[in-house]
Amino acid sequence: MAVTAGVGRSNASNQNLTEESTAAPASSADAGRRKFLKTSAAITGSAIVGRTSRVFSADSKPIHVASMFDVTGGLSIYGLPEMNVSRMTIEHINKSGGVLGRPLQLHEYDTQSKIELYSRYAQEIGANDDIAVVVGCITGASREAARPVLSKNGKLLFFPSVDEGGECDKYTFMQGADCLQMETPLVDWAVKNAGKTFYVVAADYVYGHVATAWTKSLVEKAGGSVVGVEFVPLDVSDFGATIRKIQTAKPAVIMANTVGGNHMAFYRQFAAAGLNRNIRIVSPSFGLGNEQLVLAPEETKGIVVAYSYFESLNNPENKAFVAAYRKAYPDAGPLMDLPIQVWNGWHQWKMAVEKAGSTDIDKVVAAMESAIPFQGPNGRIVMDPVSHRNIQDVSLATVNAKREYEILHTQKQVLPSRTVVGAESCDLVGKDKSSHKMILPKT
Amino acid sequence: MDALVVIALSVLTSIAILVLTSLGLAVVFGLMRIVNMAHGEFLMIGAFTTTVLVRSAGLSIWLAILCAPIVCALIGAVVEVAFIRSLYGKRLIDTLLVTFGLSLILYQIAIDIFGTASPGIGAPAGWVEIGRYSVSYYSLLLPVVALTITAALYLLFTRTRYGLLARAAAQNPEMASALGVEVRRVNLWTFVLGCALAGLGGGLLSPIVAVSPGVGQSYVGQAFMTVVTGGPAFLLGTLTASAVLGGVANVVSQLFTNLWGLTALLTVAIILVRALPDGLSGNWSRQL
Amino acid sequence: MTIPGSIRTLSRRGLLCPPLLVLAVLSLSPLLSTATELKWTLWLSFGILALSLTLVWGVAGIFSFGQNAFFGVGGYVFAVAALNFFPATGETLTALLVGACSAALFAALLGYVTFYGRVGDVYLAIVTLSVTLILYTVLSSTAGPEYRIGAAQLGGFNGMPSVPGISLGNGELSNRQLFAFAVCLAGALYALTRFLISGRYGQILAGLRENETRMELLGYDVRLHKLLVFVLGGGIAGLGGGLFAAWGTFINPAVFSLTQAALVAIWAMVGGRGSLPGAFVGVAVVQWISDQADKVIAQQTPLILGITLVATVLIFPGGIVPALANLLRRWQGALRIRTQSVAAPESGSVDAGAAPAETSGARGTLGAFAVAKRFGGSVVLDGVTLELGRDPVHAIIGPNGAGKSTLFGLLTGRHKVTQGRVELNGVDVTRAPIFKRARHGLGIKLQVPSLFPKLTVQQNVELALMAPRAGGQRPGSLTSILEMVGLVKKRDASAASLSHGEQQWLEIAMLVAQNPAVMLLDEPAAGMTQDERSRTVQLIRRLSANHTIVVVEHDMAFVRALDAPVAMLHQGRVFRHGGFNELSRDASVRAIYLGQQRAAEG
Repeated sequence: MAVTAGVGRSNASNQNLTEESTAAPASSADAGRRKFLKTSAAITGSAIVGRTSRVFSADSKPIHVASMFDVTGGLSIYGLPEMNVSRMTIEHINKSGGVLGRPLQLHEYDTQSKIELYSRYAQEIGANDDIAVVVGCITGASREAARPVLSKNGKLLFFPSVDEGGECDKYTFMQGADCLQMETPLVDWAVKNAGKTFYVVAADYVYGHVATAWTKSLVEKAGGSVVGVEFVPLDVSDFGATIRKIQTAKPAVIMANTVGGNHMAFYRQFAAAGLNRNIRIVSPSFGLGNEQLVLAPEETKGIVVAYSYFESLNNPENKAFVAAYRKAYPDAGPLMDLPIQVWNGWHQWKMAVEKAGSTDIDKVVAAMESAIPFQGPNGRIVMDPVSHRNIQDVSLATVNAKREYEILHTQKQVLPSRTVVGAESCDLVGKDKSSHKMILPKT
Repeated sequence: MDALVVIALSVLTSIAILVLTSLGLAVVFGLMRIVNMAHGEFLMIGAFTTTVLVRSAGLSIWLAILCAPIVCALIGAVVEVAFIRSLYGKRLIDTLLVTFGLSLILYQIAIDIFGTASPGIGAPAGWVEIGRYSVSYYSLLLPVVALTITAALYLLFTRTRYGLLARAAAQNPEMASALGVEVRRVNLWTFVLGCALAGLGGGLLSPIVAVSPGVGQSYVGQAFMTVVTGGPAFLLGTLTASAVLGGVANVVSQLFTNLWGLTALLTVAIILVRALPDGLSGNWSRQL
Repeated sequence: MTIPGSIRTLSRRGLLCPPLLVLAVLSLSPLLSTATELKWTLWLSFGILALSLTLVWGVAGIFSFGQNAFFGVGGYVFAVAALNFFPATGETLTALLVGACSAALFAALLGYVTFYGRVGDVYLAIVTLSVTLILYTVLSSTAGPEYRIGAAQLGGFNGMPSVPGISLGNGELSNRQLFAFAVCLAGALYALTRFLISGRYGQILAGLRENETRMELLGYDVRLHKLLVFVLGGGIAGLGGGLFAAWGTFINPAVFSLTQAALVAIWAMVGGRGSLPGAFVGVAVVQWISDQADKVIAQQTPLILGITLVATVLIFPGGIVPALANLLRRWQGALRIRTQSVAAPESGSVDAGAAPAETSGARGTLGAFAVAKRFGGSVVLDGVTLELGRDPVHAIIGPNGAGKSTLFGLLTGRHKVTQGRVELNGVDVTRAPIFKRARHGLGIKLQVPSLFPKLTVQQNVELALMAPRAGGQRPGSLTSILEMVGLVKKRDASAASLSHGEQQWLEIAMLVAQNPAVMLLDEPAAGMTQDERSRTVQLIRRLSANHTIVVVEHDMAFVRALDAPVAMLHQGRVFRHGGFNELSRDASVRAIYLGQQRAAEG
């Protein structure tokens, strides 16, 4: 884990978000504000923007919303793009008339890659009666630190990351793809194109364990077998023992559920031992940390990943989104799944509020559960009311010699899981309609 | 049979990594009693130097690895003059905290320059087949390099003038000073040497790990254990401690899981320190 | 006691300020926003952790680099206990106490292993650090469902969510109530620690910190004291951890990380190593800087924090609170006339002719019987038998390499005999550790003055007066002892500021205060002027009225002036016994000293 001793910032973007970029008063020298102004200038020029005149009456009260991400610290590679997209989305929504005719006011919380700040800011948000919804959290750990507090205080949480499943909370909506959605196409592809023997290398925390449980059940269903499982703590980077064990087991496929910077060494050492000639790697977590940029092409070629979103997806929403994002943040790296889900989350919430006619949490939840489809940059998404997860397209891609993703195949409208592997199911419109819990799997 | 050979080689590689990442710390702590908490950052600077030189300047990887200690030596010299020099003779804890502050500073500077995910380099030289296993040549190279460096250091400290002066200044700075040794200059060289060794270790590691600003952090803890367990004979003690701890960690990892390997390393270190409070080499007659 | 007097005592012992502070903060609380209350509650839990390190490190001198381990243990145990019992009992105060006790127990275990193993300074830091890292590693991997304690899932790296907050039986406390609770808890712990260290216990801890060896020589059971303070620190940290877990309703292994360990040291350093209020000030300053740094330069917090830390160590090495206190004192001092005299040391101030100090008690006996010592392969002492005590003063001499220092070490207990027996006042102390021998009546003065450098002369002697002794003899008043060695005028000077000779006398004063039956002096005349030496001889003669004095010396003039029986060691054996004049006339003795004997033999 990187050494961080970072900041806590809860600076609300106090300025009226509706003002024109050219006429906006430069009241503070705050760097965040400068970025915001740049964003609005950029959006003005993009194709998404609608009306350009003042759209809100002087007395329309803003709706307060919040985002909590690790903008600094070890997880900033995920958190910074997500917070940027949050801002960009709010700005875009406001430009198109806000929600229920009212502008949105975004409160940004930088949790600095420190879990206790998720607890603390969740408490603050919980105590703040004005805030209606939170789009935030990156890792499962941070989500579990915040969700119970937010739920207890009647705040909605939209979680944009991929995750392992198990969430069963009436007030939480899971945007990202889950294990079932990602691993099913991967396992199917592997069995058809590489072989039937699997070796699992997974990060040794909840995500890794649950994902592995899913892998085992999916592989068996596909007629294959798991010949070995290795859980690796997050701060290990010496994979000598792992590689030797893999060679003893002689699998055809490796399911790599690695997480974090230290685990990138696995791919490196794997390639150094020449193992990537004969053994294919499939991974539902590779790429989230821009591994394909850090590793050399000869180390990454042939790795197959599955995500709901790739920057090279060919649809008009994606083209517009990418253009707007690149204009606003020209120095940003490649776009991965997570920031897209932030965009999706805000829009799904907006639609639900407009359908419900209010920001009252129970009404909004009911509207969300009525499964309004949305066309996002990753295609059509629609909420599954039972699991509070999105039904979405999942694409398989492989890394090419130019370190870009080439899409192999897209599976449309993959269903998320409604059960927790080895454990009970979660039915948020039925037996669990008042639940606020997390179900742990039997691995 | 081939499994045993491969395990043995893997153990050697793990030990070598421990030696390479601990030698710099051992020299600085063993001679100057300074706990350099920024050791991990010097490892990182060395790793980045190599990576950047290969990627941007197109140098051969071997040349780039050799440049890493030079860069770290220069930075180490600046650090010593600006910060460490005023702390000699003060409480140990003060140096620990100052170097910890420095590690934060260096880490942030690295993030500002390189960002958190920057392109790396792969291992050179291919692999060799042993029975039904294949092992990368590079991982076999590391133990050889580690041994060579240790031997070179031994010669440096026993056969050269600097080496003699450094050991004298370490054992009795006042006496050495009275004899005309410019203790400050010697200490500067020693610190610079320690940083250069850390940089070399980082450079050697860069093809087999993912190089990021936080890469040094994961090695600092283990390096400490190794140096402290090794005891006053800072070269041979560190070597022995690396062998014991690295060997234990690797073997346990092979038999069980990586988690137990890591735990075993830390536990054995504690037991050794408790049983031999002066370190493994506490009772040896060897000085180095 | 008069009312102002009792108030002053209460204030000095920490029972006045803390309650007032607590009341002040609580009365402010309606004015604070929820965000501020949440933040300050967190800071208070950190402050309690910093307080524990200040106690253990700043006051007692034990650098526990992994102090956060106890914080984490307290938090985790609270979480497990609360998750399991809160639904049934409706309160979590018990869980908090259980957490603190577990942390204290863990500290007892760790302390026993390290202190009784005689692990040195740096090594202790590393051991405590590695313990916290082990906990971090192990707990991070408890992700599977099999890792549960009752109803509490350990959750591995993700940690334990939905931990109940603090509840006193009537539902969980609200944010405001939790803040009040935290203020009261912190105030109580602060008062407790103030109370402890302002009394006799504080003096003992100061002695431990300044010179552990010296404490041992005085007869204090150093290891036990260290263990006790370490356990107390662990318990306090555990309370902080429980509060932390209750505040966040969440705990995960990050509390055991290297970063957190370093942060605790930073808080203590910045606030002031030995300053109890500094613990809270340090937390506030460092955390505030962390929070604000982002507004100064976006996303550069590690840089800012690093610079702050470096600046603090280099510019304010004592920390903020002591620096401020010093400033205050300097202003005060500039306004008042200095009352402390800086007179030159008066020679002849050792009052040899005055009435003897009120030391009482009989002289003791010290005997070594066929004592031998081997180091590795070499035999240093080869059967030495010495019975000391028949005469009031004895001297032990011998050329270099004869084994004097080793014999001294065997008599004091620093080395263990390979063979033979050592008896003190008829009691077999061959296996006894140093402090036990000291308690049984052995006073030891080492060659290099072993004092408490930063404490005053008076405090040095006080510690010796308070030392436990088996005999229970009262050695007389502090002032008379100081008078005897001529240091009364310097009673408030720090020991480090004394001249070399004065330091030797201070050490002798401490011996007198200890009132042992036998005094062992190692080269008492070393480094003294001619004048000081003769005073020392007179002092020794005076002391020998009530104590047996054994002197190991090199200085022949000094030995002659002592006019006492002399035992000469050579090559690990007692070569000759007798009066000084007798030995100095002996040809073989002279030859040994001039090297001829060895040349003839070898």
